[in-house]
Amino acid sequence: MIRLAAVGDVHVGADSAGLYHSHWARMREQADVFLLAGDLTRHGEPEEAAVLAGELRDLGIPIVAVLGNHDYESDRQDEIRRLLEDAGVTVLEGESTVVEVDGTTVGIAGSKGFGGGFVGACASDFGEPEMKAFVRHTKAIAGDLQRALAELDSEVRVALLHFSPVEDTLVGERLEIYPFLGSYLLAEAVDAVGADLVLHGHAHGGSEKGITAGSVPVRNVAQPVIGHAYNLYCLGGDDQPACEP
Amino acid sequence: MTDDYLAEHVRDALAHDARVADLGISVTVEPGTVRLSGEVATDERRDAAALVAGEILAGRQVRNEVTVSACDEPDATENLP
Repeated sequence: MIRLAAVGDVHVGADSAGLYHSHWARMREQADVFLLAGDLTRHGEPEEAAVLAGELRDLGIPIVAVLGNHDYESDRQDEIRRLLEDAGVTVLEGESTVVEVDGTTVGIAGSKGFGGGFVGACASDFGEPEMKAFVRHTKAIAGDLQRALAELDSEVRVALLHFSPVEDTLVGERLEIYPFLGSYLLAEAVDAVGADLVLHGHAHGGSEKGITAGSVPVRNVAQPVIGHAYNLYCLGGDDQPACEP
Repeated sequence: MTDDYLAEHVRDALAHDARVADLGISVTVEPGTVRLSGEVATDERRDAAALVAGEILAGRQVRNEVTVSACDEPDATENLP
């Protein structure tokens, strides 16, 4: 069995120092890997990422993250990524990584993702350059996500996103903003290859649980949704014991 | 500024003001009052939301119903196949 801890949308800033570390420190007893689903900072400032790095110190388990839209706000996302990588975090954007847990390989493919909407109510790659750029950006991201998933040679496969791949986990948000919260293209990329779980954030007013058309479980781990410093998921499989509660 | 677009001007300010920097706060314009709701990570940001909204609402009452995210450890694990 593989135990995953996950949260998104922690929006760390100077005022967050000390808020998370004591809670996250318990994770080593409960989880094998910690996944961060984007919006790690408030305005995408490296100083904020440095505070986050402090909160993540000495957790004792691998940490894998994707960035979110807030992390791009100051156009310093590359610095944020480097700073977190220097702190031992694996940051993914259209890339994958494999972690070994007690002899089981856990593959994680990650991407921020982007918007565009869902089947029947989505933006089209048509019209003005700005509109085409919007949709083509998500198409490119989804293509990279699919490739990153496909290249994983692991027993367990997890997709880590910031934007949502499904509408299920947006229930609670206003319907009119669904196109800004995710895209069906992300689910299509996951279903083309297959995965055991998709985690995302971004939709603070959404719902925790969903599923792709290809029956991959989806979990919205934005902190306002889960109501905790992190959530715990156990990927056991039918022939594995369940995790302890 | 008329009420028609006021809610969005306030939301825009809450997103771009460094003291708040949040896209998830809802703004509802009611007679004589503007109500803020949603969830933020710290007490400081909740208080800052009301301060920033008040600065651009000039004389209108701000009803701050923004809450602060819980930050404790989970009490259960979900088992997935």
